Amino acid sequence: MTRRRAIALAAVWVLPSLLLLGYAWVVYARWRIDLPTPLSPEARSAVVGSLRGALGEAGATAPSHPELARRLPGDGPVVASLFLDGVIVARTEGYGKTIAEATHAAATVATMHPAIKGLDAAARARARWKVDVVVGRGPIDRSNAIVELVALHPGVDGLGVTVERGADDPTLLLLPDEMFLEGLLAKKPLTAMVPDVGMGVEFDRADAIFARRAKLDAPGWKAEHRRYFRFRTDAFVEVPGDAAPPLQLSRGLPYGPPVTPATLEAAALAGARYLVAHLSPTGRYVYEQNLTTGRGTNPQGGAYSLPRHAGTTYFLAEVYRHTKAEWLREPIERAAGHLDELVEAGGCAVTLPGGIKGACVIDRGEKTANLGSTALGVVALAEYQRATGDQRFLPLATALTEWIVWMQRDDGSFRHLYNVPKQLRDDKTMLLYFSGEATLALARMYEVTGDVRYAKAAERGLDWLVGWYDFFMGGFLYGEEHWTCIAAEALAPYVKKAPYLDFCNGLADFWGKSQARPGDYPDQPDLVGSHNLTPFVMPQNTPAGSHSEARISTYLLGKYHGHPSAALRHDILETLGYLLRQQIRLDNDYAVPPAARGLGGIAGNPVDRTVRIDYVQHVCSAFIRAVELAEEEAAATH
Amino acid sequence: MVVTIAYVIVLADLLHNRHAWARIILYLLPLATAVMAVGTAIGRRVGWWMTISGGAVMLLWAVAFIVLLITTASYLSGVYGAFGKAAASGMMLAVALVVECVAFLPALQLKWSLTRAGRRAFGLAPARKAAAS
Repeated sequence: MTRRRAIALAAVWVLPSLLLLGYAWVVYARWRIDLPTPLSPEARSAVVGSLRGALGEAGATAPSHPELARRLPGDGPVVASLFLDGVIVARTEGYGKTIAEATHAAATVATMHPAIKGLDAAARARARWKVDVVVGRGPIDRSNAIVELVALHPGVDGLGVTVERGADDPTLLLLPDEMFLEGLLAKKPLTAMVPDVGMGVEFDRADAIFARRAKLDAPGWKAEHRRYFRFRTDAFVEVPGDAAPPLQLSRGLPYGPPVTPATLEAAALAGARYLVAHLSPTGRYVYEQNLTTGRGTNPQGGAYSLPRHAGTTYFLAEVYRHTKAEWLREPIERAAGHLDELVEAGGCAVTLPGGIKGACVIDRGEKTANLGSTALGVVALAEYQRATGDQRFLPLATALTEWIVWMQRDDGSFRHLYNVPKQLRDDKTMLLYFSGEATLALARMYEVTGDVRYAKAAERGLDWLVGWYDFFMGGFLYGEEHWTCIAAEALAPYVKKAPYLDFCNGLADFWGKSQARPGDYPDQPDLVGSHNLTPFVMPQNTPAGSHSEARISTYLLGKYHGHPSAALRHDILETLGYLLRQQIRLDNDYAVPPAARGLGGIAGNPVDRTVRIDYVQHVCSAFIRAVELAEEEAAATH
Repeated sequence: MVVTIAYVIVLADLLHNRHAWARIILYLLPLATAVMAVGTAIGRRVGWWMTISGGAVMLLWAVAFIVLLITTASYLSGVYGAFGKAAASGMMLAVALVVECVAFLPALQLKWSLTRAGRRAFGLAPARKAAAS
């Protein structure tokens, strides 16, 4: 081979790869925003101290700390937002060559801000500064609808626009957390089948906010020559009472507490308090609560889910069983009593073969009863009895359980819908979750009554649920079978079958593969422990909670079989660390108005501001049930 | 022609796209294979050029697809800091499929058409450089 031919051959094999690599680097570098190291607690304190001074007699002073001499790309700005009782009362922006200069400029503006001047001393003391130091900018592509779905990183990137007028071009900023406080993120569902999971940015609404801030009407704003950009910030918020250095924020949240038995129990109790605060006198919950506006749904009308009502009540009883917190008892009885009222009002009473009385739960105005409402109703009532020993709901629970047994087919599967006026069982419709919920209800009723009929029915249900996966792709794909594994563990005192454990181990392993590990998403360390398939869509908190519940049951099932998995226990606690961070606490509620009664709440995902009752139920049920796992982990570690 | 028919069936039934511009891009493939097939069948200089053109279009299509995937991955890594293991695996799979289903046939056809044997089959004289060596 000649030298020339050897070079040509090498070039043929190497050059295309080099060209593609170089091209990839150019694209990556164009869109990347490189970030400096976040400010230290001392530097953050100096910044907030300067702003705090602007609220008092001292006036605006430049903060003093070596880190604050750092050059600010694009002169910042430093954006200081003053929150009072969950609402922004003032926002100032200061530009400067360094962080210290920009902070001083922002503090100077604050001393002259009319809203701040109008605050009395008590309000100023109560208010909390949140600071965003703009540390990097990058381009944004809004060229088509597909790119707009991934135009910016939700909760991490802010959206900025410079209005180009030739001179003194004003720049307007929507901060990373403002993007979701204003409800601009992840609102476009990926599919109609999963409306909760969304992507993208509401650019039209963002433009409306920009126009309002620029004091222009919509046509006037559109007539301007605008240049949009993304930016990232080093964000931190003042701790109430200045008890600690300002907390560094990621997606508007500081790091959560460590995962310990005490923090898990406290978090579960906080969730229970949230739900009790959102339980109306009639026994129905405020189904959804917006944490930004403070508006909640009307418990007496509008969207409501009875299975979720029952599941939430089950969780409250579960917390009572673990903690014996007496303030829980009356609300549990109120919510459980509402189920009783609905059974009475709904007219779903059947006389079953052998003269056995059966009943089902159906909401007002509905004609079709679903299996899930009744099944989780039974789970809640049985949990109440497990927690209190009080048998007041046992007759109701028994009638409901008999109806569930009647809805079961000979092969162990369940009918999911029942037409009450026509007294017809629907043999065609299959819905998510209901079979697992019904199996759990039967297993729990076996526990509280000792009636073997229920245990056998639960066993048939589990055999069918687990057996469904006996096909060539079984073990590689799973549905949302969390109730199945909770039921398998609940039934373990009666029957322990290796296929149940194999199934739940497989399911736990399947979910574990979607768990973000440290380093998986370098720009998103706050998502470690979450369950997600891609870094481009925000992880949902509720599945992380329900998966944790099922994995806890799988761990306990392993104990029944004599071989619990320490690795699974570690994975569960890692997920709970992520979820602890997501809960609204005193240190992260700066943007939650008192009307929302948000403490203890869990939103749908890290950039969502809606709390639904089942979000809190699943996540906090995992918290309380994981207390014993955290104790075991602590014992194993030490 | 078998490949052309297979492409049409796959694009019409399995990978039907509702966007006209996407359909045009996808249907370039059966068009190019049809041009290659007809060119190879009729031979002579015009057939040779048809074969070369059809093959080149398919190769360029494959390269453009790969460049598009790399652009997507680089862009998303830039914005999100990661592309994700599943997305990276999916991308590698997509590239492998495109190489196998789109690039393989024209690569072989072009290689053959540019050889002396290939040109002879089209009724053309060997290329000057090839003749010199």
